[in-house]
Amino acid sequence: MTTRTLLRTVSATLAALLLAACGGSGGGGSTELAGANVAVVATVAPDFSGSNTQLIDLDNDFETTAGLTPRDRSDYALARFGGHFYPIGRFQIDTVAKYSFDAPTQQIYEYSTLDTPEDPTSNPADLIFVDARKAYLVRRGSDKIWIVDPSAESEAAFKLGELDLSAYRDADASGSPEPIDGVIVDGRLYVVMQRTVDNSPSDPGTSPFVAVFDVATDQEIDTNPDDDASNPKGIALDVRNPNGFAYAPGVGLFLSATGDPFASFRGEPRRYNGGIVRIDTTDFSTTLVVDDGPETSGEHPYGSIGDLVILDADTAFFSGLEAFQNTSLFAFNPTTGVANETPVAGYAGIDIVTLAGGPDGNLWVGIGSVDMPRIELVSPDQQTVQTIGLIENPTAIRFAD
Amino acid sequence: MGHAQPQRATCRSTSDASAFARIPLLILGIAIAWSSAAGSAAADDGAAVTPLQDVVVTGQGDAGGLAPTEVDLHSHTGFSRSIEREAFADRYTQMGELLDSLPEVQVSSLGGVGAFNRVALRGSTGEQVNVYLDGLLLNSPQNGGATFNPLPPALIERVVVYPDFTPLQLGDANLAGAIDFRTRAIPRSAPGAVLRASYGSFGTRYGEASLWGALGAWRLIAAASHTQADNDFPVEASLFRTESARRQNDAFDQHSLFLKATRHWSGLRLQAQVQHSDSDKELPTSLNQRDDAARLGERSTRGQARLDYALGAVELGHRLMLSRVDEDFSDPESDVGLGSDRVQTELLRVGAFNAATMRWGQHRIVLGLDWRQDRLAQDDRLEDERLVDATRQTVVLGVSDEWTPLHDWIFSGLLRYTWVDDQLDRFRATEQPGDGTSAATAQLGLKWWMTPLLQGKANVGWLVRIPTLDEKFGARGLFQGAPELEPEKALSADTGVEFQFAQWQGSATVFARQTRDAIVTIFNSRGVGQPQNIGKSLRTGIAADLRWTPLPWMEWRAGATLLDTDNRSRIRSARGKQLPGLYHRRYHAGLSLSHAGLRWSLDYQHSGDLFYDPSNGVRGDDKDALRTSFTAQWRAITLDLTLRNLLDENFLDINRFPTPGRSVLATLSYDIR
Repeated sequence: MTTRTLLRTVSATLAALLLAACGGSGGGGSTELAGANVAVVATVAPDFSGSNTQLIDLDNDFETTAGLTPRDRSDYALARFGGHFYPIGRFQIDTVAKYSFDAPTQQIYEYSTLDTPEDPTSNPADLIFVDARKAYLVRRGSDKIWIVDPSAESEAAFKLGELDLSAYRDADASGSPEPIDGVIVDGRLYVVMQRTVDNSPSDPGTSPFVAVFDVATDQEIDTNPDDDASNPKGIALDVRNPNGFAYAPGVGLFLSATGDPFASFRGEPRRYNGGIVRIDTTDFSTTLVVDDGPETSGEHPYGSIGDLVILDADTAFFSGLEAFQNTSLFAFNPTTGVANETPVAGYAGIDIVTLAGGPDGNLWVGIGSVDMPRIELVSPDQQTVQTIGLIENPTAIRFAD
Repeated sequence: MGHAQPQRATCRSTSDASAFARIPLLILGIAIAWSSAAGSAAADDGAAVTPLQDVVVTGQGDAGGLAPTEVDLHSHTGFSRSIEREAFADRYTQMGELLDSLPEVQVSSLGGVGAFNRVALRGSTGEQVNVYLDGLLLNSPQNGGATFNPLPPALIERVVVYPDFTPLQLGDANLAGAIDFRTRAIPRSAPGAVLRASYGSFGTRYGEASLWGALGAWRLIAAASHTQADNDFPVEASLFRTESARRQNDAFDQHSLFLKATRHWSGLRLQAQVQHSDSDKELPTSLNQRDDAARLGERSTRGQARLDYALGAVELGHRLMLSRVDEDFSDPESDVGLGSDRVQTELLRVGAFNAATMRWGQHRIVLGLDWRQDRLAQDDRLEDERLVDATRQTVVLGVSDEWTPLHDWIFSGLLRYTWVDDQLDRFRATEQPGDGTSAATAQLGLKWWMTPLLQGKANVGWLVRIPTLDEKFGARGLFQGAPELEPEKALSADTGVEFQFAQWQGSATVFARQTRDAIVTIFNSRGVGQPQNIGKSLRTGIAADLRWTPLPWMEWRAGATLLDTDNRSRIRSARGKQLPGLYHRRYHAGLSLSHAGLRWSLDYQHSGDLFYDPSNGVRGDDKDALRTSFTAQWRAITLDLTLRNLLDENFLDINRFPTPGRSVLATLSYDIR
């Protein structure tokens, strides 16, 4: 047995033992869900030459497994529900795979996300679960959201239906309004669409939108029934290039938008037309709670706003992009909307790849690094409480529901 | 309980070929038994020993009598390998296929005829190898690459490979060595011509016309060729999600013209040549969709003039070069990138290489001055916008000394100093006006004829690769440049023996290359990439080849290259792993039989131990390539029938880009003399 084979065997054995310890219980009573105390992390090589998945045991000093799903492509998202995790292959990969925490190296299925095999790409972005038998697959390269059955035992049974976003198509030839993220709040699916025109988020007159659907009926809700019937039913946004949702029960639904930091690659000046928006889920009104500053000049203390996490009514964090591998972490109060312009100590000028709110009440900060990729746990009072070393850069961190 | 296994990307057999392969293997077995007895008898006849003037092992070199701007393989201490025209003239052959048959060389292809290729010398990257056409550099200053599959065989007389150590006569040097395609030599025989036509699988068609002779005091050779291939080879259904059973959008079409003329005066020799090529290549993707429409058109014109003369005891040579390459990249359906695209690129290259050779006692000293100006312009035709307007000037000053203290020893030393100056009028999004880079390199070598038939060589050198324009100033998409990039650096060494006696000739080489500051593009959280000098690696290996000619009409061939690579990059997931994209073990065996105008050849090559990614998570399948050809010559007519990839597998040198399975090609040649 070669050294490399030995290491892989040990890692997988450890993963199985780790999960058996987490998932097992004594006699009598209900069995704990597999992976209940395990975080699953999508990782990517810093040179984008490949990607993988790692598990972190929350009950065993944050012990990590080695890579469980090695791939030679890097564009993957990650979803999780119940005892399973779902790597989502994005641009020109177009797959949803399913794994169980009981056997995290054994692929249960891998289904295509294309409407037809000849489609160039659907670029799936996220999988939002209603329950074990129904979920919504948001596809950035399509104006249709798939309604899917994640428990399907055949590819033919995977797709159940569609939600139509064609009313939000923008002016370019892609035919897609670029939906990028979704969240279910109080029985409603909120889907945000970037609506970029030829990859530009700053096209005049082309605003991002949030469409709202009733989860029970899969019908779109008109968020402003008093306006002209020809208007789209969704919520128009004033910020550009929305990144994703952040929701905390009792606190509210928020949306972060990055603006246009890469306009220079098109030969245009950088634009600060992003921010953090609160969406009122009763009347669908929007409020800009954190502004990234004047659009083209002036002060921009946060840079371009990235990921957003709400921990509680008083505590939230977001990342701000200044330049290449120069991102900082900022705190803000989601109730008052007041943001601290000074980065969290020790979290300035690094490559913050992803943020997540942990079940331990801490902020999980995924940090990219060539030689020290890691997750750092930050307490609500902004203290680093734990560092977890990884093999590759973390791009998504998912916890049990 | 399970354990994590690397994914295995599989090359596919499109049919059960085991029975098909048995026949030539059976013949091989019979021939082995027969030739052993026959060989012994021949040895007993006392075959004459051929003194080893230079290493002619598989065409590993030829004698001197050359101009100062030409490489003298006799005195070159590096392990050069060459392939002569006679090995491939009878059939249409891609240059990549030829090179891939050599030890220490790997060529990965993206598809069928005319496909883009990637070359590795002793486990290098493609950007670390300079590719020349008669000393004219083909590598792009923009991305460092050079593709040579489209070079028509009508143009080529010889291919010479210089692993690691590049002779001074090629001017510039790269980190891992050089490949020099030598254009057609002008025969000294009476005027003549050759007409050649090939037809084969997947719509492959090739036509060639060459003629040569004298026009007054000038000797001339001219060649024209046309290559066309549909490349719609069958692919296993599981390779792609689409339903097409054949490779889509991989066709190739090329016209080529070549003219070379030489003239001698007393003490003066002038040679001039011009080559023009017009090609169109469809660009296949990893999706294999029926409506894939990306393509690349390329039109190139290259001219070169060489003047050699002597001033007293000093021999002087000048090589002037002018080339223009126009590329037209079209991706109307965004098959390749993120959105429709139409980009035109023009590279205008002017250069002059000057060499002076003088003898001083036991020393032969060569001075070389190489100057090259690359003017690059690139336009986005959809946005009607100029993307790039840049100039790169390269000056290389070199001096080498070959010291021959004894008639059977040569010691060599070579120093180069390279200056590169980049001036940017426009380079995508960068605001940089330009930058300069300079680097020094050195090589030491020795060659020792232990006996007239056995020679040893050893070399050590410090070599560099200058960053490309894209690496320094930014590429398309979200790629930032890094003007502060340092050159990649390598400390390389090799040693070995070459021999030729009686019926045997061969070589064995051990080599090592330690690379640091290798350029790797790192991506941040938003997918923006920037190259950085964070790569580090150690490559070691053994290469050997052997030819046995027990009888004048029989030749056995065998070779092996074993590579060991250790990724010492700062990237944690890659550290301690094998370098990707390389077969770490390769074996080759072959047999040729010839008699009275008939020749039959069989060649088998096994390649294994390949990973597609730096973290070694995805392993490639082993590759077994079996090829046979039958050539019959009757008077002026030659007929060749070549069957490639007899085991009918879609090899995946590059994951998700299959190469053709079994194919047949028939070639008819008519020699007019």
